[in-house]
Amino acid sequence: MKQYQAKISWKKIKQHWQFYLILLLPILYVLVFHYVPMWGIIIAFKRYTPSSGIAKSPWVGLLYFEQFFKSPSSLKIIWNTLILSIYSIIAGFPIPIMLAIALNEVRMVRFKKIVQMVTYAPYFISTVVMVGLMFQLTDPRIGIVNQIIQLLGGKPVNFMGEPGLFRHMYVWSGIWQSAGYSSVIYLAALSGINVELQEAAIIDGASRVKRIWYVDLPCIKSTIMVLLILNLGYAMNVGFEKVYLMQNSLNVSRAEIISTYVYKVGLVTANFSFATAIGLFNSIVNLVLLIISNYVVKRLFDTSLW
Amino acid sequence: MNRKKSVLLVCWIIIMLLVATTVGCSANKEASEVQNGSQQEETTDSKQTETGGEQSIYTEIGTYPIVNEKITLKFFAPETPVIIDLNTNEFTKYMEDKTNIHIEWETAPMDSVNEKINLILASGDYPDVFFGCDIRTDVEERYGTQEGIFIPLDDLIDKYTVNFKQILQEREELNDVIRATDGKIYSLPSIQDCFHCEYAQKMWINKFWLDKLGLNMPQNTEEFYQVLKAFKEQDPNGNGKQDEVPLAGAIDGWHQGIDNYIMNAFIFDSGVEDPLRRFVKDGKVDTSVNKPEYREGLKYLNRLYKEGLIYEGSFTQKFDQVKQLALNAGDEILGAAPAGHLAMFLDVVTDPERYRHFTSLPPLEGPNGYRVATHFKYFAIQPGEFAITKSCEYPEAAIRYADAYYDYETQMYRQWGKEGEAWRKAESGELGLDGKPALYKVLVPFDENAQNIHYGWLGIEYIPNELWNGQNVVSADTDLYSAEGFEKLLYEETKQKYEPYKSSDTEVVPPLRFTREESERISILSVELENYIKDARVRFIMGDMDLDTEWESYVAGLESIGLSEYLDIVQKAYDRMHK
Amino acid sequence: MKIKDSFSDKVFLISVYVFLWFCLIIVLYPLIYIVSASFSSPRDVVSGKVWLWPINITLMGYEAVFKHGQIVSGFYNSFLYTFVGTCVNLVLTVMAAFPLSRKELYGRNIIMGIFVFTLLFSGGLIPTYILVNKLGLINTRWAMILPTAMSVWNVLITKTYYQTNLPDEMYEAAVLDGCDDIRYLLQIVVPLSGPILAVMALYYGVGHWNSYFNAMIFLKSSGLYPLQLVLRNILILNNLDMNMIKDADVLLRLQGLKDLLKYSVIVVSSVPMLCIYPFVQKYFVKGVMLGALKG
Repeated sequence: MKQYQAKISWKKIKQHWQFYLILLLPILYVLVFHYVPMWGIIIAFKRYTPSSGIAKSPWVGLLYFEQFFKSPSSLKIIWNTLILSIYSIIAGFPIPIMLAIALNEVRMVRFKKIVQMVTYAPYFISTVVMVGLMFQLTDPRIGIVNQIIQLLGGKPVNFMGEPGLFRHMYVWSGIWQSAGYSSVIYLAALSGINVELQEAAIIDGASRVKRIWYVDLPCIKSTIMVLLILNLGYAMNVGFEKVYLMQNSLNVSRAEIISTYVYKVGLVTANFSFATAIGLFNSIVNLVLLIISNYVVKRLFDTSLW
Repeated sequence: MNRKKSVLLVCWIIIMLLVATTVGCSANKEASEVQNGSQQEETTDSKQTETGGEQSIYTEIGTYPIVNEKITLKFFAPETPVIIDLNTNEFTKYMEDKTNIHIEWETAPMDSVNEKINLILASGDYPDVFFGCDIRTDVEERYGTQEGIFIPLDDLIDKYTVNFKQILQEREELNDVIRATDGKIYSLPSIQDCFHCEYAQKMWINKFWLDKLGLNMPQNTEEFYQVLKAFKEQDPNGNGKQDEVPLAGAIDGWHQGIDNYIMNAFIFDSGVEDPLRRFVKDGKVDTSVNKPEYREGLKYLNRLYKEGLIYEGSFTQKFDQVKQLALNAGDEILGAAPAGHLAMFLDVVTDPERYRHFTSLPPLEGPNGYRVATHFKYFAIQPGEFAITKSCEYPEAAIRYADAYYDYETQMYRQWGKEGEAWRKAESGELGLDGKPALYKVLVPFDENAQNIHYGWLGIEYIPNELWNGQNVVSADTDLYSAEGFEKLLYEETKQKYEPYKSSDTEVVPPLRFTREESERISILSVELENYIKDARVRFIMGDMDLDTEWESYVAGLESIGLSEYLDIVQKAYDRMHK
Repeated sequence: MKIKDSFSDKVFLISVYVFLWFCLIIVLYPLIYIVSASFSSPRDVVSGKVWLWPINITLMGYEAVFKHGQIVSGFYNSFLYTFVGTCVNLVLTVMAAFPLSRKELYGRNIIMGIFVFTLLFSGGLIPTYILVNKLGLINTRWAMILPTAMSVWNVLITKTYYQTNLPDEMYEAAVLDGCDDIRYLLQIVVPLSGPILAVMALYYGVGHWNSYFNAMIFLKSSGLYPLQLVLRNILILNNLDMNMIKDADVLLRLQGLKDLLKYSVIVVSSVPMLCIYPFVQKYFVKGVMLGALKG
């Protein structure tokens, strides 16, 4: 039985030997630049000193993991990280899709191009300026947002100071900044839809909304799902800079996330092992999230990363 | 035929990419060979001199040039926005001419220096010297004490330096700051005295409004409260609206925290840059954040907050926002603000009128009679400016090169440029910042644009009070509130209003050195404690947490996080230094 | 045939336009603010006077940027790294995505696993640096291209695109006609990859253009620095404080410049990428696939 199966596989390989030739270079790249350095992960289990090098540094096992998990705020910061991430994904995921579909429906080419261009631009604003802008525009005294609120009869809100608003400010400013840029891939996917399908739907009398629901979305379903799974697989990697700039004494209970915590610990003493250990922890959680979301998506939408 | 073509095409692409890679690699090999070549020259030179007999390449100690035959040293330094290119900079040439040592520069962007140092030392390609890098004390501990990559400098200093050796004897506090846990020196420091910086925890108040409302400068906390209340209610800007902001602070900037100056009326406050508010009294390290006096101070701040005297945003805003309050387009609305100096929130150029309205307030006296100005004793010293690695073949040359910096004239060249062009010796009659005769006069003021004449703030700085006061020429009738009078203003304010209140028995904790185990433990503890203390402080002040009912649990919380353990470790490090 | 919209369609279309106009305004205002601030005098920006149009128009911010010695080499290097880097990226991405998109690839799951694993796990900065050092790439232009030669994330998106838009019938028909895999890739897949290659070129291109971290770590000579790193060196002014520069006057002058540079730097660094976008946009046109199938 085994021999029989083995025969088939070599035949299949020979049949499409060119695939493997084509894959040669990408695999080589991944091996050299990703797998070779990967052994550095063992730094997480050693007390690394540069003079000993990675190989000869002494083993300490799970010491750094223990240190992290025993610290009082570890659970809280893991939770904060996840919440920011998941919130960002749930809120931020539909918007680029909506934007792309909306643009796809519009026939005025000039308007379409202008909206695309404008919404794409904020991506290039640096984090520092972005946060500074947020402070400026939401200033309780002179910021334009609060001025509008006051015109409408309300009281000014300290958006950047209010700890309860931190997560919302973080997420929605992120969406503002990246929605246009992220919508590009959906625009491309939509443009690849077979026009004959569209025409058939029109002939069948389907309204625009129905067309979007039954033609557009299913055709870009795979793209959407892949991006969703990938985003969830990066959930633990909430960037450090923006949160750090938005932190203050009031919101620190919500605004301390893994990357800012590791940074602050590293300011006192740079401990590569500690940082690597936490990075490894992040990766494992990401892996779990990836597998779970892939499974769920497969069950519900019949698409998978694999 | 087609199949062959396709295969050929793919193979060609792969080959092209591989060739490109190899070409890139070999190009780099060439470059590194050139570098190796020059290094070989260097070693042959030294070999020649060595085999040529006992003739040393070094000149007599304390004289220049340092070597008879030109040698090359590899320096690693940060890139700063004001220097165009260290290789072609005129000060580099000045030093090369003076010492006969050629420097090969390797640089990295300023904010990546610490990371770069770790990477360079991990990869084994050490330069001879790390120059002007502000090497962190924990980095020095790791690569000096633990790994021996930085060499100890004590013997070199003793044998080959003249200037620094003397400074080390004169300024005792240097030993507190620059020695590692094993007692040895692994890097040379910058020393830049800044008198007003040593008392930077200042409060600035709108004197114009005080005069307008007929009030005296407040001397104690009760009077301060009354003044702030008057600012708020009596409409000093005269526009009929209650839009005045009596007191505003920020979470960044320079000493702009809302609580520090005021806390000094209750208990010693070590400043906003010490989040754990530690101090040393009678050789014992302690913190103020769990003491009853601190609680009293918080109660006072809470009272100010409840009555709307502290600007709401003070706990979350950046100092740019304080600036906006002060420079408010329209009517003047700011009453008082803590800051290291008033230009943090005012601007003498755009609004010289408002700039004049503010003056500094001496420390307030608290209800218990406590009245203190925090002295930032160690502000002047910045360690980690010059470290020599074990791969340096000319440590004597390196240490003597560094020693050349601890000299007034070299410092003038380093800061400003050439004598006669950028500065000159002072003439008789010209006075310095402290009223004594000046030493030098700067001719071309600092230009924030990139240049190639001097080093700006890069490198070993040696500007003790004598030089600092001596290079800031101030005529007796300079308007303190002009742009030129800025330094003099700060000097006078500090001398008259803050120095007299210098605390006599309590001090700030010096910058400490920890062993590896200690620092691993302390790094986590300090982040945890800092977050907890900051959060509690703000919530107490805002009334979110009640100072009567929740104080006990707050103090207990500190213990459960590990305050005692933290203080023990710090005490240990402190004792080690003061054996 | 003219497509007539029903009433519900018209309502829908109006709400689409409202949504798009809302997006447009909400994004446009801060952008205008940034551009205005970059042309205004720093004092007016700091005091909050500027809120829409520039006040006291000045080119000081742009002067300060362009006066910098390395700005020209920064632009040159960035264009070089972006162009060469993106070409390498596209080639490698297609080479990885195409075979992975075919179910006939034996061992597909294993190979996918090899790629995806690297998305999640990484050795970290130090081992990567040591590797790049051993390869002799430190301080070479190749350090800007090779370590980031391919992004698995993008490969997965491209693979999904191929799986969705290149029907199996097309492949099977080609195989029957005697076309081999490499020829299929080059003569059919690549020409039909217009939209996805355009998007990938954009994403990779912008990634290269915006990157500074690898340059910061792997490069030593400022002559090789890309634009972002040069600009970051200028913007370091944001991080200076009295502990570093004890001369208050010096610090104040530098900070004054920083308020101005913040905005002009953004404009300067993003203009090229904004200009490129229209060229890429024309690939997102409906009906690109039409001709392929019929052919």
